[in-house]
Amino acid sequence: MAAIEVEELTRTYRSRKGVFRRTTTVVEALKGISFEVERGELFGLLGPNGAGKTTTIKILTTLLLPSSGSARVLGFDPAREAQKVRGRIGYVFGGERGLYDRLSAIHNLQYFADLYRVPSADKRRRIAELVELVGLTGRERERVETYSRGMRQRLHIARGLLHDPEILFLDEPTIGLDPIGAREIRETIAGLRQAGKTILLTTHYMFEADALCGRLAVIAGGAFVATGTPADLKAAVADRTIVEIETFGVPEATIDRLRSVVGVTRVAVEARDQAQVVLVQSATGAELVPSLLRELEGSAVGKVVTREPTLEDAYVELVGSA
Amino acid sequence: MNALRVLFVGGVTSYRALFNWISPWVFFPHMIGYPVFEILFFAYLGRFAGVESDEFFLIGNAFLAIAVTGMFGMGHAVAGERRSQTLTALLASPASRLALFLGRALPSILTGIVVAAMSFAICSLILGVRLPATTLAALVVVALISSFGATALGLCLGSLGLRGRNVSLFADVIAGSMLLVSGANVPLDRLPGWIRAISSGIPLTHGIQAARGIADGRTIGEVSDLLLTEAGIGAVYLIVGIGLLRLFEFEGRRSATLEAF
Amino acid sequence: MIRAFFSGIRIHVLQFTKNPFDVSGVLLWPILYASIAYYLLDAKNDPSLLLSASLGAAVMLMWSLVVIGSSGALEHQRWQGTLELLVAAPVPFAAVIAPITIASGVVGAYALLATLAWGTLFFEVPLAIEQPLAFVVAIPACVLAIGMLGLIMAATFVFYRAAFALGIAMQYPVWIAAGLLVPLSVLPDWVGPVSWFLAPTWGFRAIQEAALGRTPWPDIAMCLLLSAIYLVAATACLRGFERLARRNGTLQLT
Repeated sequence: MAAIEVEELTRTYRSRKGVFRRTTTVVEALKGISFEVERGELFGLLGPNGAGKTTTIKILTTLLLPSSGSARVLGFDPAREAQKVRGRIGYVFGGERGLYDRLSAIHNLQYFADLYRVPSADKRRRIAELVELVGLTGRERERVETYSRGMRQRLHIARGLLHDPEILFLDEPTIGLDPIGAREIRETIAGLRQAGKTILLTTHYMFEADALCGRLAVIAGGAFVATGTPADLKAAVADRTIVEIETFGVPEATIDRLRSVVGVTRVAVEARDQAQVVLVQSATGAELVPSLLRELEGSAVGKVVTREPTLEDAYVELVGSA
Repeated sequence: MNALRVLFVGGVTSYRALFNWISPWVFFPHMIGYPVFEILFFAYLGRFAGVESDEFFLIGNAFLAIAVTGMFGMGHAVAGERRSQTLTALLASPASRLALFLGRALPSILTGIVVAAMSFAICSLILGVRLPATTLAALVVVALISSFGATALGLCLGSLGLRGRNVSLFADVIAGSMLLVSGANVPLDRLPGWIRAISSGIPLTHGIQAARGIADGRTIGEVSDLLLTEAGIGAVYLIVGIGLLRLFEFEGRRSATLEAF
Repeated sequence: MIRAFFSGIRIHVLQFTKNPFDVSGVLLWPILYASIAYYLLDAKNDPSLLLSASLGAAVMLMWSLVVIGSSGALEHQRWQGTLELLVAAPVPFAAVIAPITIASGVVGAYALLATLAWGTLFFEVPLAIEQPLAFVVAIPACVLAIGMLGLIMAATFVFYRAAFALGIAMQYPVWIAAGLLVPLSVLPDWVGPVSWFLAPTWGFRAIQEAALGRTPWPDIAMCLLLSAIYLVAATACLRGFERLARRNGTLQLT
């Protein structure tokens, strides 16, 4: 039996506005998704904001009822058998909220340990272990309101692990963190996976999904656009080459000329600080750099890099065409 | 002419802002329900203690309702301007500061009187207190004067609020203390000397006395000395309040902290 | 579940008392009302009335803290981001929220001491508690009963658009109807039966009777009985709230 089984899960929100002329807005947050997560797997849900990642997690953690479809967590239905699910899962979400600010980390952990029925005999030891695991040793008696975002995040993870759940749901755990803080969290997550925990992770950071996930699903607009291992997804764009050209304010007309170069499949422009980066896709092996540079004659050009596609390119392609 | 325009336009803008905060869901329980039951509470307490009459507590607490609304309304108006970052703009304008802030005060004064009148009417029915129409008209005049004083006190508190953080708690304490100190619920002759000294220096005390006098059958002329005292006290608080505002504005400009909190 | 319950009370009392301003502001009110009562009742020359007034003022505060704290409790937890976590706990939801409402009452119990001290120091209120054992039992019974009534309020006021305002509005009516400072004898007859259903009525009576040496135990029993009834009602309401919140996705701020 898989740890998590989801079949044709949908979720619609209805909201009514206005008193006299009622207008109903219907938002389909999930349009019918299906997937399975095996025990011991680290499964990722990767997608932009509003794609439906948080909605999925909230349904699986019993906090939201689905509109239709079925879900099973460790064999139990989170909609109908909520109590059975709740004691067996840990739920960690990103952001500033969710803790008792005026109290210390220790107090928060003690409270949640009691709420999650951690046996009294184990409580103190478990809290001490977790404080150390997430790197809060030395600061655990200070009020949470003095904590940085990264420290709160780590406290959330400790909280989620208190009752040693079989499955962990991590909803954008590194959002808003500085790079070092984020990396430390990722290392902790990788360690948990190695310890045998089943983890469902949502994120909109491609490299995070690439680094951590055994398998992942790309979700956009409430539906899956692709599922598989990071390698599978990269393979979808494996037959491409990307040429990155650093430019400084190239007009649209020039970009169009680049598009018309023989062999070019796609051109995208990204802004990076003061410069632009033009991303030119083509079939593998096509030697297009000279032709491209010819079109760009007269414009200032910086670095030119030819590279393999990354998961990010695959993601942009998948999400863009959704 | 210009000052009048500032008075009205300023007032309307502030009121609209207030209305975002005061919706009917809040208004009826908080602004009507609360004062009505407050009046009843003290009236029955008075009956139990055998002190004075229902009318005594009715007038006392109705005036308190005016005071509280005026105080907090004005305090919020000042704080609201600061929060929406319009305070510096306002203080910088050449329009007479007096007209400006009276304009802000008008909604609070009117709301206070409406609230008090409604509570008064409801409780009169419940308690069986009857007052002739001419008396009621005179009471409205007294109410306006007291309301002015309470609003001026609110201005002082609002100005202090520019400086400190916990001023709303302080204002709450003051509003609560007035239950005791203004003579609204305890006849002044029962209060110790030092409290009576404080009573004579705050708005409302003299207004309540005047109102009770009128309800007992005196004319406005006969209570005019109390009314003048009440108006005078209000004027003093107004001057202090504007002075404080100018002081903190000046200080704020000097240390660039005006918009800091 | 018992552990979660007491742990919750401890945590929420701590959460409240960490801010010294809140605490001192809170103590002002019973002292104020008690003082008004002292001045008015002075002429009656009956010390037991003054003692009742002290106790009544303290229970008034207990009710205020509970009703205002409870009316906004669920909304506050939602705003803080902790509501989801509380719902997601494997302990029954009522056992998680009850400590919040009871914690407010516990803070109010401290006011009892402050009010009695004030009265003794400045108004010569006699500090003789005739039945100390019953007194010591009556106080938590009162806190429990009021807290449980608060739980119903938490579970129902959350559906009202301005729950906080409703909480504020429910102070004086209950103070009157429960006969806390104003005895029921001066109120219209029909208030009597209403008062029987209110926790503060019996809580106050229990404390008062214990202090004045009358018969507190039946009142204490009523506190416990009412607590049980309230708990049943509140649990049903909370279950309804949870079901609705899960259906509409309102357990967290969007």
